[in-house]
Amino acid sequence: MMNNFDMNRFGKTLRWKISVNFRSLLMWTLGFTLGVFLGELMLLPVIRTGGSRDGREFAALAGFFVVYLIIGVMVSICNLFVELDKKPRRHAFLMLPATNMEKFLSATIYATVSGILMMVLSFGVGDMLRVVFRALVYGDSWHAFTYPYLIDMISSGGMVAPHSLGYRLAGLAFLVSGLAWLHSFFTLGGTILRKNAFVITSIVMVIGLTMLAWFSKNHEISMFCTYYVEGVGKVENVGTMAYVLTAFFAVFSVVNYWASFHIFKAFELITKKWINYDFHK
Amino acid sequence: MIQFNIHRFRKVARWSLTNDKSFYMRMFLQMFVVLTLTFLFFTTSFYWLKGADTGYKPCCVVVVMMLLVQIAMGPSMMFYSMKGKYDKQALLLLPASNFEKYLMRYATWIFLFGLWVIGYFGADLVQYVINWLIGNNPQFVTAVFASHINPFSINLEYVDLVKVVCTMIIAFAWYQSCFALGATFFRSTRYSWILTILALIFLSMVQAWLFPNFSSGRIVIDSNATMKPYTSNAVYGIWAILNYWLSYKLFCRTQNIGKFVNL
Repeated sequence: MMNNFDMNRFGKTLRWKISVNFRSLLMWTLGFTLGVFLGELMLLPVIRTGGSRDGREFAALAGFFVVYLIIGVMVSICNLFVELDKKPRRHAFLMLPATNMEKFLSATIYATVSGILMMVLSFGVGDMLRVVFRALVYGDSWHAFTYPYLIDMISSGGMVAPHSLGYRLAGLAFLVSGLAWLHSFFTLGGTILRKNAFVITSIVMVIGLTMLAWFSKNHEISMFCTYYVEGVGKVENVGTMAYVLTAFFAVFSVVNYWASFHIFKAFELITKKWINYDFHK
Repeated sequence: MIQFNIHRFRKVARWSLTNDKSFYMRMFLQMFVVLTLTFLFFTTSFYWLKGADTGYKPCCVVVVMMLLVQIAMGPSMMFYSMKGKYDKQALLLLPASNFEKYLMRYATWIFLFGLWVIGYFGADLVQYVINWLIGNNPQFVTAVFASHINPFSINLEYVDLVKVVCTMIIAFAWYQSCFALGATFFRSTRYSWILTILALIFLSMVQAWLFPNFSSGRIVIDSNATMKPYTSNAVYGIWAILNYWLSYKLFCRTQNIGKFVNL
């Protein structure tokens, strides 16, 4: 009987996945790089016209690219089985001499890593191209990069040194479990939905987040708050909701991954139009 | 065969729209969701961007950028809905003239532009409702955008509005013609825009090297540039017509089996 997971076979499956999708990945990375390069060239004058100068324009620019990176990575994760839309490709993938676990893991890891690599690389190279172009043509600084501002933005405020250890640990746990849940949720969306996976998953996520924010607002629930009390000093408070959500995210990450794998195991060559799973089976 | 017949063109349009229904639907949903997520990122506090310029102003910048890209690069989507040999075969065998088929394919960007506008208003409405639900101070991006664009604030003593508008129209027509040419020249329906941008960057570098003062953008900003604006506009206008003509000729020569380019 076949072992459920063999590292050597998994490596071969991953290599197959990369070789099949390499050209498309390369072209999209090139396209996004050009997009970032031209986008930065067009955005900078607009932001400077708005009055942001002396480095603040790069902070504003970084704000756009945080959104660009997050949306790009989410799209990539959600598209983990997008190439299986066509029957010959589906056939080839399902007939690969590897176990379901190896195939599922290779697809998930490929979609995540390639998505992050593609977005980070396109942003880094596009930003560098813009700096080189502006320096050569307009004589701008050779150090006017956007990425230091972007790195500063994506670092979580709740985990930096001024806070107590307990507060930082709670913040870290919340962030890690939240990101894991987000990844698992988009993986589940990409596995179950055959068409418009990103669109439908995003809509569900936005509805969920709106409901959560609405509930928190109406019941005055706070998660992480720091305030000053006269005579006492700085008070840090991690609300119960933060712990509840951390636990929820952790548990439902596992549930989502399990459900995704379960759906993947039931993949068939002939499927329904919209979803990859037959609930009546 | 008569090159253009309105009844036949109507049938081609109906055939194309019926065939590409799912493509338009997919593109609309993608644009709507990306716009919604972008608006929500900037206007709600779901994700706090440390030190970033958040609020409605960045949304307006995103809208302007997307609008410009949508208009300038639109024709590169001419064959985006076609997948593989069979779709191309169906188009080539369609009982209509090449001109009618080309016109219909070219019109793809106009439909997409219409869908983008609908998607934008939809996303604006969604962000308003969500901001209202979570207790933020809701505003429409459209209202903020309109308040920033006040045509009465332009001092017409210093700006020749007709010249600027003419230059902009010709510049966009030229960009569109380049992407239309790229879409028919490169066989890759999905990546033709990337290859066109690369070709444009290369061309602009050659142009900057050969004619350092020949740039329509510079002429609008800098009145001391050596090239007169009407000369530049005329050159770009003729160039755009030439590009469209070449694009149409290449479309007429398109074959079902081929390699990298349509020659």
